[in-house]
Amino acid sequence: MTTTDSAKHLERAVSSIIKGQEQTIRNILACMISGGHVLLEDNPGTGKTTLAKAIAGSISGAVFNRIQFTPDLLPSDILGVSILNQKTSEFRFHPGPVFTDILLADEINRASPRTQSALLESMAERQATIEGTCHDLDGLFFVIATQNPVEFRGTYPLPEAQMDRFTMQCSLGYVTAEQEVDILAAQNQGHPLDTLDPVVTLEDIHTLQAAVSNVRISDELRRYIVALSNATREIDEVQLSASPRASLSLMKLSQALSLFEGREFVTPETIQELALDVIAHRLIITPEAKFNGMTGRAVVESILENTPIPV
Amino acid sequence: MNPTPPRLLAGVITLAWGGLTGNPTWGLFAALLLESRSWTNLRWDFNRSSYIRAWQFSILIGALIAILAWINGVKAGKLHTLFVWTPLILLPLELAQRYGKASKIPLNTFSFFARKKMDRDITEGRHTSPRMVNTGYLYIAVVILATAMASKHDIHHFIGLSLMTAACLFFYVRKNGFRPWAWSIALAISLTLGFAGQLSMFKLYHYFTGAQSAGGGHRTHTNESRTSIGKLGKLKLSPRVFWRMSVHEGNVPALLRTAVYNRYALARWTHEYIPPAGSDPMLEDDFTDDTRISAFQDRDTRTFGKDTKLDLSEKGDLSIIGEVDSHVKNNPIPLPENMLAYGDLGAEPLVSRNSLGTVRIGNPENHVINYTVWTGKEPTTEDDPVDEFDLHIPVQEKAAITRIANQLGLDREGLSTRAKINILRDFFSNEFQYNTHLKTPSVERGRRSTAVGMFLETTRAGHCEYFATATALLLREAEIPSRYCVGFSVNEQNSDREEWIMRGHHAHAWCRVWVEEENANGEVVSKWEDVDLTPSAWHEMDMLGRPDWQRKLIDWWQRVREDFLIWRTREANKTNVAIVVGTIITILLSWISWRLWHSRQRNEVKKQNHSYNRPKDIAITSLNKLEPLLTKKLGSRPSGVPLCRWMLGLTHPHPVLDEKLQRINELHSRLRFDPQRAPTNTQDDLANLTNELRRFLKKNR
Repeated sequence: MTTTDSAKHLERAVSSIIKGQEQTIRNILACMISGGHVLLEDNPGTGKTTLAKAIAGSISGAVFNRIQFTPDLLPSDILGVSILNQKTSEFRFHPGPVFTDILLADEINRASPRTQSALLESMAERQATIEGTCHDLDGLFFVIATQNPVEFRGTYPLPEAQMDRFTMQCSLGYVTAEQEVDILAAQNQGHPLDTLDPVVTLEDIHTLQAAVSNVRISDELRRYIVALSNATREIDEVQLSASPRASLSLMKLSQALSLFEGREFVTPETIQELALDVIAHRLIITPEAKFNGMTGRAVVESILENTPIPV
Repeated sequence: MNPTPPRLLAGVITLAWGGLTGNPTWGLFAALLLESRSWTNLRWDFNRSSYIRAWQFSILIGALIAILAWINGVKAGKLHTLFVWTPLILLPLELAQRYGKASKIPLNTFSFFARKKMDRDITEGRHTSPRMVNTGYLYIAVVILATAMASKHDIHHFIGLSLMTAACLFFYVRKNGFRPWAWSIALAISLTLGFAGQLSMFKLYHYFTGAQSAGGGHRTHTNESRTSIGKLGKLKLSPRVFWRMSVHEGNVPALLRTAVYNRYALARWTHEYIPPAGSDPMLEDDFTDDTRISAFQDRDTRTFGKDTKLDLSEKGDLSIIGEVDSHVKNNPIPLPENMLAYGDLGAEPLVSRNSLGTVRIGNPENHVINYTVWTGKEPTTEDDPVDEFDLHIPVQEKAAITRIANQLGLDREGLSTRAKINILRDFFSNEFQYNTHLKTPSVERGRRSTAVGMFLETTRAGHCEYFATATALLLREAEIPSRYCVGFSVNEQNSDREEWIMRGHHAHAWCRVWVEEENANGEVVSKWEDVDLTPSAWHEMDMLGRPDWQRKLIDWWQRVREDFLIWRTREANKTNVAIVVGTIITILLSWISWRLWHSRQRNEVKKQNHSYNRPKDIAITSLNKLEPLLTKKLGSRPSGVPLCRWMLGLTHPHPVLDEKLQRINELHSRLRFDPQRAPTNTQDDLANLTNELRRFLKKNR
């Protein structure tokens, strides 16, 4: 099976479970094979958990873990803990849910910043340091975190560093009435997840990940990516602008998405398509501009509109 | 609910404000600015700080108006009258609301502390939801209130204001469960209550101010003085400085006369006169104009005397500074007994005097006046006595006056005027006490007496009005023409500035007496003289109340203000003041306008409409060459829109091109953006397809 076939099968399998979200699913899968993590900001009941399960279910041998973040969750609840075995008088390490292929961090902004930060090292370095010992995260380790935009109370906003670790932030949103009818019909006899068969193996995913770096991107488009990031640094209303990590993520994700689109090179359209999801959540807007209705997405939209695109 | 007012409502009401307050130009200006919104599509993307700046602009205009009013003589206590200018003061804010894209502005725009609190909430990540308001109806309400302040005397204005208010309320409630009958009844009740309340308040106000203006010595009236004779309790007099006098030459006058009266009845002294034959008694007020004299070339000097060629010293004998009401004709001014000439009152003031010697100034240019007085040996402002008035004793007082006159022997033959005055002086000095606190007199059965009678026969204690009235009536009983006059006693000196100060509690009453006596040549001459028989103890009582630091501060402020106003109104300084004030206003207004304009621009999208600069080593494709033709079809391509996506716009008019365009895009992208060299035929394929497209487009123009 070629890399293009693997990508198509995976996309098709997940799209059969999550209806009417083809483009978002493609972007999220691209994020996964680019080695990134995704933050879903969406209303309850729009299919965030189902999406994570569908991705895990489509990959043979992939382990899926879910953490429901609450204010009293501790870092050890995520990473794991060493417990004394009284028979052998030895400490035995019990790995936490972070040791998985696909991790759903549900309502991540309900946990305290301390617990949120426990994910930082894992997301960036693919390792977890617990009680002085460094444990590699061998698997796929793709984090799908969700946060609820309407519930402001009892939440801790994600720290800037944490936001920067997420390659992209997107939302599934509500589907059309017709697509919603299809969802109802599909779940009449049982949940489609129950009948979902894996379509790719973990090996295929690793192959896909390796193939991403083979997707070609011209210097002109690299400069365009940098121009987009730079533009965020020249706006007075932006307090914290896009980091070089944002540029890197945008490039890798563009390469991955090109792979899903069956191309061996990146086009400016692909970069434009992803820029909003990759850059906007990393920006911090000044309080005054925020009051006037300015958002990170509005800033990026304005930049995309005004930065000359290679033609 | 916070709706926007309908078209023309604000404009009509602002025009009415201009018309009724006597500022039609400003009203028209404001109305045009407000209503131009409906006629133009001009809208600005104001942000939060723009509204704050507009509000600051309004505050600044308010402050400027207050300063200008202060410079023009409006007292600090009367600054509330500037509310009439509020429509202009709030105009920047209302214009920002009208010409801004936002339909509402945050209510905390008006509060520094509320704004700071919200900023802190935002910084600390707390949820903020400031109350948003549309200022349209609030502004209209302010305009109506300002109109009401300025036009409170006319019933037509009340009707007009009621109609305007009704229109506003109608448009305001129309969309929110409008019930016509209930609304009409509620409005009618409100208007009726409003009218009744207003009328009652006016009557009450006039009742009190009318009583005050004629008596008390604060605002002297030329025709009437309501004395405090017969009133019980403590006589309250203001410590405020009314006049300041500098003496340049000669003696310091002990008394400065403000007004003279000749008829007494029921605690009221009035001015009576015989109108000239054929004149209209309703129009005639016994006042005659002064005469200009040519004592100095560049100074306006006048006299009431017959001699117009006077030899006057340049500095004058006295300078007097004080405040009058520039809106009224009747402003009696204090003058010494033997005033010869006066000058330096400014451009063409209307100064006149009546037959009793009261001199008044009508509608001077400024509130604060500063005039120079030259004194002579004889009084020049008073006419000879008229027995009908100057010997008149009211019937109620006649009995007591006759008893005392007989008791003192004033009717004895051969007594000279001076001898009679001396008898009275001894009488008052020895047997009377000065007292400003009058107690309830004891009631004696079968005996009714007036206040003056009680004073003369029973209490033998009173203030200057009692003494002056009793003196005048007793002298009249002794066949000596006498008049009652009010003014100020000169006995407080500000030694630092060599000024004599006349406060409210220096207000005094005494007599003008027609004294006949022989001169050195044995000729009988007659003239009016001041006769003040109030015991001298009253000066000492006055000295007990020394000014405290608060009073000193008020006096200092009043003096600074008056001196500044006088300095400002001098011809030589007028231009300089106008230039300085004009420059400050221009700089401030420009600064604020610039800030407002700048904040508008900041919120605009910074447009960078420059096109993409392709690196020189990158070859263009056939599709790039086709872009000019595509521009003719699709309009110019925004710099941020990819060429391929932009070109897909052709599928709307020509759906048949869809497949071809997809292929062109694919080939163009490969040639342009794939770093690996594309197969050689790719370029040819693209050239062929773009040529086909070119032909198609030319064919289907």
